[in-house]
Amino acid sequence: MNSEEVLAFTLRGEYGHFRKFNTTTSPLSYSLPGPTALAGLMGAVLGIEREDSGGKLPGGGEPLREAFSPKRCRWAVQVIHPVKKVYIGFNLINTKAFADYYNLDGRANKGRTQVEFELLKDLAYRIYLQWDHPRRDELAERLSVRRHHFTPYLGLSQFTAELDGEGTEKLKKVSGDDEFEACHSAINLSLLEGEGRLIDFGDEQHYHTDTLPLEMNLQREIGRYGEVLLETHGNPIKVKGAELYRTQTGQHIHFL
Amino acid sequence: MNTINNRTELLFLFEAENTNPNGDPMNENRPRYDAEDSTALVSDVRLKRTIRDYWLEYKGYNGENGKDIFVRETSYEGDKGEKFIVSGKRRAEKFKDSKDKVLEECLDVRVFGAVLPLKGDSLTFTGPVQFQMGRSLNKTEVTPEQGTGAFSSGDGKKQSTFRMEYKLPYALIGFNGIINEKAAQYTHMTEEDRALLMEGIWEGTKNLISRSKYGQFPLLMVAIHYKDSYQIGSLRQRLQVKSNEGVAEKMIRSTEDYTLDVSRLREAIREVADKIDHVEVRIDNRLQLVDGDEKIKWTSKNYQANEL
Repeated sequence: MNSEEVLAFTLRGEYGHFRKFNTTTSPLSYSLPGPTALAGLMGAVLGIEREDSGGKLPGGGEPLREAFSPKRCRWAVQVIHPVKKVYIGFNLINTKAFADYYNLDGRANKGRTQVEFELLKDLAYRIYLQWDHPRRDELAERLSVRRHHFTPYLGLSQFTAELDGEGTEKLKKVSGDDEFEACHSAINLSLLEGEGRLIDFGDEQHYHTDTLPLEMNLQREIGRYGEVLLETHGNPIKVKGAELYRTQTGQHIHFL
Repeated sequence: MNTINNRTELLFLFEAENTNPNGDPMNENRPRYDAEDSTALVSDVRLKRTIRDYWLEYKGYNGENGKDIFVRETSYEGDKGEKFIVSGKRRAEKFKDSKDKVLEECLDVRVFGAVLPLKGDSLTFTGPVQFQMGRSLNKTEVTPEQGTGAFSSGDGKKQSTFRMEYKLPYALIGFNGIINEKAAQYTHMTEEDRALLMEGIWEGTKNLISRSKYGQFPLLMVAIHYKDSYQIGSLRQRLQVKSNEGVAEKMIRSTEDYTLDVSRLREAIREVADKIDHVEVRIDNRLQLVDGDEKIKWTSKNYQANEL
């Protein structure tokens, strides 16, 4: 397949928090939204309810993780505003126990914990979604006219998101694995094939890697992780041995 | 009452004069501050607390007559620890295993959502109303203020202690909010609840009379009621504070020192006028609005989108 179509949209916000799975007490954030977070955002736009447990929807219908299963979709994420991280302390309350929850003036502040959150500030990404699904056109339309079912947010509910559809893009596969090619989106290093040096690191670039869960099934089991490389200022990365696609606007993207 | 069935976008501005609108628990209770932009921050939960307290103290949502606030400080009847647990349990039992009862009685759950700790389980309601973090539109700074306390730090001392607190000289703080009619179907937020929310935002801010908060007054509320599931988004970011000639931005101390340029907000509203049912405005006439160089006047009433 040499030509493919993707939905392109931008995702912006003043703050965002995409929590790392491996930090149970210090809430750290990934530097970019991963496929699991992006699928949730699309669910908010389409009005797919949150699953309570075991992949069951309160109101029935197709569960989110099935609609955005790896068989149906691929994601590419491009940084379009430098990734910035800031720290803000929040006063959290214990919601597990009756006494703590109801008696907020509880003696010795038992029910409160102050936790510093790592947040992304002034974040902006362009997302490319290749989605083989009957509701694809509906999603494209909702994104382009901002007809969001639920309010989309970036990780925590107070960080409401701005989503702007940019229409569909026809993709052309970039051939030639022997040369370094510029890639404008984040790169899944786990997918690179080839010998020797596969990334040509520049001197004045800002690189960062995150290990992201890339696929999650109905039982909330992770099917695939990937080590994802991004240039935090949004500059292109020179790469060899990656599957790249050229958009009509001349950007090279790589699916995570 | 009917559950709401249209979307509303909110913009709320209040001024904070020599107050600490939201202390940071991780930073000596200094006002939350973004040093990169020199702006003050106020968390969404602080605003929700303001609204909840107003409902509790002024609107009778105190747990009687089937009107309650779920997330609130409950008082103790006795003075021993064991009594506190009993009363906590009793309060929990009032709603136990009945999310319908919680939704029926607790205004804040219908409006803001909640995580309900039911026995052996918990229920999550995403509230129809979401506020973003609030931020000052003007650049400001945090000023320390030292004073003497009335008490000494221990027995046998001749002098009382010092206390230190931190305040903002002046900040015009803006919040973006959204009321999502789809989420309202789950928590049964009604038209009456929406009216109480609007009242709570405005009057609640006026009624903050603690030492650190007195000096905060509401200045502008714009509620865009849509016909459609649409929202403009980032309303606050479209506003611009212009300090008057001869006044540096950080030296703004009152509404006399600046004008608020609403041209981009007006433009955005007019652009999507066909999606808007009406725009509800509440304004304090001390706030001086401009569109570019032209002075404009808004009054507290309902507008059609193209009248603004």
